[in-house]
Amino acid sequence: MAAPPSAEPDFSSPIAQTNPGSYEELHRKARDVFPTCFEGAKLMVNKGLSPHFQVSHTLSLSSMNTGYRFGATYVGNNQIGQSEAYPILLGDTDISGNTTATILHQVGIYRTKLQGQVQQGKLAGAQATIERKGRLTTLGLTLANIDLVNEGGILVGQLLRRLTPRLDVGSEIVYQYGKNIPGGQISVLSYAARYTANHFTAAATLGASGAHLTYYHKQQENLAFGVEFECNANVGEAVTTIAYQAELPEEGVTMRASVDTNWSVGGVFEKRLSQQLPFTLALSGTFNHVKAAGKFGIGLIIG
Amino acid sequence: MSAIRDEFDAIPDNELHETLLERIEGLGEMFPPTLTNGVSSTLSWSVWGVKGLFSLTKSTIWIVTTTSLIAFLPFIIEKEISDLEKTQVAQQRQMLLGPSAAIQQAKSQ
Repeated sequence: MAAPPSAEPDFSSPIAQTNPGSYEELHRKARDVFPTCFEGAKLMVNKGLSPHFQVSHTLSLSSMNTGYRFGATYVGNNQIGQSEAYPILLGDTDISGNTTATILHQVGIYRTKLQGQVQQGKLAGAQATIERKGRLTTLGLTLANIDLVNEGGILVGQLLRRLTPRLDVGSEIVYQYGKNIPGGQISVLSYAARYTANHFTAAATLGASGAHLTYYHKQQENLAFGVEFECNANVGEAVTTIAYQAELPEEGVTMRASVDTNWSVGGVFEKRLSQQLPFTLALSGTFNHVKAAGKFGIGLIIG
Repeated sequence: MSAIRDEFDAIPDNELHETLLERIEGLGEMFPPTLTNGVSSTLSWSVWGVKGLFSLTKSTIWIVTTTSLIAFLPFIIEKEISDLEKTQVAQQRQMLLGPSAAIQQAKSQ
């Protein structure tokens, strides 16, 4: 918990280097390789009004959801670490007033997150998370949709522990109670492990409700592969997806594509249009061979 | 078949008029049935096999083409353009400053 010595003692993070990170970030390395396909036309304008405040306007025209979304981010003054400052307030609204808001704050080694969602004028979801990032362990507790009037809610407890510099293990318990659940309460326990090496990372989450395995492989400086296997025991479905990410850093080009066992292919291609001006073009395509249906999208990101 | 006498057996041979196809069919009766069955099933399996292979090849080519179109094409195009530009730049440097400058630049990148 002591801050490591550094040239700028103000910016050193109280979280130890050996901390394994958050439980949600277990599959992050492989998931980042997968493309986020979209459909229709999308225009996103990100503007930083000050070092603390940033707004984004998103205009999307597609057959599924046409609309405008406005997002704002405020970053506070407490600088912890080189690139993180707290508190962080995030908000996202659209024309009809559906809002999602998040507040993140870090005090010492405790990080708290509050999330709320308002849909059609009513609070659709609220979530509070507190996380303790110790030297070798991360403990997290989340309370979601706690309804004191109707006696319902979800509690999630997470533990992630570093056993060796390469191996992390953890477990998560999800406890849900409420009137509409048979028996009044239900809990699901799952175990997780992650092995990190120089070139690859393998992570697994196993529980009664299914398994989720991911593998990330960095082949070269600009080429990475990701493989994901997910199976859901309740529904009885399993999907395997293979994806790759290739970059050409000089032109600011990033290409991500994935193929999966549902016979669908998706790819996203991003290219920076100018060296000086911050315009990025994004092309997205999805095609399902079984249904023989394709969805394509084009997006422009400014800023 | 030979135990049952049908009407054709009653006609004497020199008064029997058969069409060409009937004569060919009659010629085929000299082969043992196992051979005829074997040849017939081999042919029909071969026809099935060729049709199946053709259909499989059609599907495979379609799937591979559409998948490569979405997953690889934009990146390959961009890489080709970038490589072409690099060789052009190297060529221009070589023309202006001589071959050693182009080699130095290629080494530094």
